[in-house]
Amino acid sequence: MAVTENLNKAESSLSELPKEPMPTGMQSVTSGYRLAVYLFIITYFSIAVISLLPAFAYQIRLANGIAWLSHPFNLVQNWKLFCPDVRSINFYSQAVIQFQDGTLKYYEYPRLNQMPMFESYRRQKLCKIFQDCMPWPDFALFWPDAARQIARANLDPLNQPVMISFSYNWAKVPDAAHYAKQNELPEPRDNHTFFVYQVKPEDLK
Amino acid sequence: MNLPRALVEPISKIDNFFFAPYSPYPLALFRILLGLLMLDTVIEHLTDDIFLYYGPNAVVPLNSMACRWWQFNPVFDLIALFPYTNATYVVFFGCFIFACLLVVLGVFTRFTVPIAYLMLLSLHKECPFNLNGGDSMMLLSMLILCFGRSGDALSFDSLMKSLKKDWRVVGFVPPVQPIWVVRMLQMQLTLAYLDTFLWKASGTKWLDGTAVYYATRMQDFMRFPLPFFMDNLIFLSLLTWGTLIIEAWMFSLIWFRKTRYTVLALALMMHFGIDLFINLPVFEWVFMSMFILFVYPDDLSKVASWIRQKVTIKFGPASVLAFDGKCILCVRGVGFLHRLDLFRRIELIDFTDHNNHDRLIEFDFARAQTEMLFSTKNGWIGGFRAFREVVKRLPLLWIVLPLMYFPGMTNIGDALYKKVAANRYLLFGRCDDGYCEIHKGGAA
Repeated sequence: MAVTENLNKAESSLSELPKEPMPTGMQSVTSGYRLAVYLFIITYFSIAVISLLPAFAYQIRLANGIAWLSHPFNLVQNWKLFCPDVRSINFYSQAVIQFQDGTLKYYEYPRLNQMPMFESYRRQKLCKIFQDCMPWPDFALFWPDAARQIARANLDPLNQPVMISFSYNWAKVPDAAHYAKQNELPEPRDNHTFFVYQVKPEDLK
Repeated sequence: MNLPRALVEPISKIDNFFFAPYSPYPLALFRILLGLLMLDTVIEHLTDDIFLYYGPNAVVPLNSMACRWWQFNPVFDLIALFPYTNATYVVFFGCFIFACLLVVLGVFTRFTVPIAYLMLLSLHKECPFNLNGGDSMMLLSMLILCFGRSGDALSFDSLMKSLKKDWRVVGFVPPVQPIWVVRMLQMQLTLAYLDTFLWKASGTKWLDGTAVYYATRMQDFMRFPLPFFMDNLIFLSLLTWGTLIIEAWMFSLIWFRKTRYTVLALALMMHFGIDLFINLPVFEWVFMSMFILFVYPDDLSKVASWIRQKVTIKFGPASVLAFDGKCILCVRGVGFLHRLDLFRRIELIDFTDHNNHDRLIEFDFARAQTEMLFSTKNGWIGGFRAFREVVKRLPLLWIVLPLMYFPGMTNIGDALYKKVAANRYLLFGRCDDGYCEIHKGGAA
């Protein structure tokens, strides 16, 4: 009976809980340590703020000036997910591989919306590289690399790939005034070819 | 004369903001969460397609990355020190997974956190095209964590450190530390919300209330479909503006104690919602894990007390473990077990202390001289069996429990236990031979 009473008492409000002992006994902080910490904090957040400022001439000069420090440690920040505006098109990337004998092979980069849910969760980074990066001008420097990679992946010693072309199919999301449910979205069909690459023999080694 | 005083007060406030003593628990919890998220990223999201991102057959090979992306800037890349083969990346991934595990467990934290950071940085450098904001926040947090003493609590390190000290003198609570690492992480998080809020406020879709409509229509980001009651423009507009408001509060009202938990609760709901409907693995979880840094340590302690109380109500009061307070091995051993006792299921009582004798009912003092005794429903049990009962009550040790029930293990365990117990003073010394006093002096 006494145990039950005790247990009932124990089931009291949070304010009546026995307090866990709190940590104590901090080592003293020297002024040198303080100075070093302040320098680190100021440097870190200065780099952060410079990298977050909108691009203008002075910001670019400052960003270039601190690149020796920000670049090796990836201190440049960017929190622009879905902003300033959310994109209003759907698209997916594809490649057409032309072989020596003139045959064409169509390759569609992984589309997450056509994968089972758990697989699309696990492999979302594929979407990042092949959809978010590859079709756009920032990645143009690496289009030849991506073309060589797909050529090597389709290597056939008797019938070599000779040309790779990259394109994406896209469709506009109906604007909010013409509200479309998630399962009523138009299939991306408009095609835009953004890169064509002539495969060289050394690319296939 | 007024000027110095006018300066002294704000300077002292800033100093207090960064150097006030603070509990190590929030940082330790954050270390564990961040370690788990790194493990999740590398095991679940990178290993399947490792050779598409890294190595000689990657979409962007290293020489191209160096020439066109890194250009002439200095770069930190550990992997570049090793041969450029697929095997290197497999070994590197294995080492990285191991480093993340050590971070979670808090093993040699002073070294493993910086090593895990440098390995993560190397992966980011080698393939920046598969990263999202969550990955960036993870990397920045790891950098800041390198400077904190995140291994002072909830870690293998703190367990090992405690073995060197007498808990009856120093207690079980880890020492406080300057708060500046927690402050930097808090400031980093709020800076991210400030930046994203300003960018969103400069766009048209966030202001006219259609942003969430478009975000939930991006086919490559869709996860669970919206339920019917949410799939209308009025609801999606409310979510759009709600997001803006919560993000504004996350860099402003979060700094005030009165509003902090309300803002955190709303932000948690927002991130859970995004995670449910938009496929952005880890991103939301990295941000949510940082919320632990905004929980006041005394509230964390209240939560711990509340959980322990619930466990006590469910499973009854703690069982007594009677130990020999004159034996160094016993004192350290039970102290070690107590640190692993998350739910306080074991009460430690030194049977050599006369003040405790009224709490030891039907206790065999002569038997206690030969083995540690543990109270159960069926009375006192001793030796290896007592140790096994103790392990049953400590979830952190459940991993070794099946071993203790192997056929023949009871006999082996009993024999081993008796051997050590009989020679405990010889092997480890006695507290009344002066050792403990010297040690207590040192620890104090």
